[in-house]
Amino acid sequence: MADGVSDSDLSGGEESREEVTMTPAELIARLEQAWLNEKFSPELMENKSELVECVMEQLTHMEENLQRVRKGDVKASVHRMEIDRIRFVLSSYLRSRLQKIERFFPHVLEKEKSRADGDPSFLSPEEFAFAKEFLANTEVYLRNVALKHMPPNLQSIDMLKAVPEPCLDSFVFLRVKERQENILVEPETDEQREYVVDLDKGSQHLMRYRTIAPLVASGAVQLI
Amino acid sequence: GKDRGKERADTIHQIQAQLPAEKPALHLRLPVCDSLGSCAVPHQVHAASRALSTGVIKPSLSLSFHSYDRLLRIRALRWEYGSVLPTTIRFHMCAEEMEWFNQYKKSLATYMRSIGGEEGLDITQDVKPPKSLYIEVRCLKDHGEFEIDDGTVILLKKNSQHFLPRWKCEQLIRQGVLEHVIS
Repeated sequence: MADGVSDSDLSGGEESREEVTMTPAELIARLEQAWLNEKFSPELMENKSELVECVMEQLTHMEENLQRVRKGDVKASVHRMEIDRIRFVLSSYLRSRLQKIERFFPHVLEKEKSRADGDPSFLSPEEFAFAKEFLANTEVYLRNVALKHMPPNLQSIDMLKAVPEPCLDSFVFLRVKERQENILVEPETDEQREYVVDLDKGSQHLMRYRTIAPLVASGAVQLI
Repeated sequence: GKDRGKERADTIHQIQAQLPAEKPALHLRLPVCDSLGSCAVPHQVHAASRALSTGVIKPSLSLSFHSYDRLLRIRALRWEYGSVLPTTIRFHMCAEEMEWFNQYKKSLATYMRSIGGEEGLDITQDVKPPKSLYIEVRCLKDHGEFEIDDGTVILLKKNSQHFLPRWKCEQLIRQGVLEHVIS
C-alpha cells in the first residue's frame, strides 16, 4: 500500500464479512498472490470468487471515500493511483483466467463437470456459463463454416481431442513460502536419474510446473 | 470490388496443387493470412473435402484450422477495438464469423457485468499497469465535448493537446481519437 498514508484513513478498516477477518492490506496481498499464480501457471487455478467480491467491495469503498476528499488535495491523487493499481491487478487476474478458459475450453468444462461435490471448483458459476457459451458458439461456427462441407462421416469433431490441453511440463519460477522436503525431480533423458530436493523457505527455484502443482494450490509456494 | 470468383478459384487451386496424382497426401497446407484477409474459408474447405472423399487426408481439426485461426483473430479484435468493429474489418468477415463475434461479445458482456456482484467490471480496460496519473494527449480527430471527473468540460478538437487523467483517456486512445504524447 502507499507509503506514509494510512489505510484506515481511506479504506475504512477491516472487512469482517467472512469468517476470517482480513485487513485491506492482507486482502490486496492475497489478490496479488492469486494474480501472479494465475499469470504464471500453465493451467487454470482454483476459483477465488470470494476474494474477487471482497476486492470489488474494497474498490467501491475506496471510490466512495475518494469522493469525500477535498478536491485538489494531494492525498486524492495518491489514493486514485492506489485504486487504479488494484483495479489493474484485478482485471489482469480475471483476464488471465478468461484467456485460459477460452484456450482450453473443452478440458476446463470436462474437469468442472466431472468433479466430485466436495472438490474445489475451478470455475465460478459465471465463468462456467461463459465457457459453455463459448463451446456452443464455436461448435456452431465450425459446423457452418467447415464441417458441413465435409463428407458425412467426418462432420463431427471431438473437441477434447482437437483442442490441446495445457502443458503442465512448462517450467515455472517459484518462491518457497513453506519448507518442503523430498520433492521428486524426474529425469529428462535416459542418462539422468530421478532425485529429491528440499525446498527451503524463502528460496527460489525454476522447475517443471507438474512437480510442484499441488504446492501452488496449497499456498506452500508462490509462482513469480 | 474484389473478384471473389477469381479468389475462390485461386484458393481451390492452391489446395489442389498440393495433392499428388498417385500417392495419398499426408499433409495439406492451408493458405494462411497475415492480417484478417477476406474469408475464403467455405471454398477452401470445400476443395479440401473433395480431397477427403478420395480418402487422401485424415480428418482432424487441422482442416478446420484456418477457420479456428481466424476465430482467434476475431476474438482478439473484441479486446483490441471494442464491441464495434471498423467497417474495413467487417468487410473481411463472413456471416458466420460476424455471428460468432456477436455471440462472443454478448457472452463477454454478461460475464463482465456479473463480476463482484454489483455493477461488474470492464476487464477490457486497465490493460497496462498505471504509471502516471495524468498524461499528455493530442487529439487526432474532432470528438466534441469531453467531461472529466471534476465536472470540467474539454473540447476535443483535432490537433489540440491536453493534459488529462490517464484512466479517462484509455478508451479514446485505443479508438484512435487521442494519441499519447510522450515527451
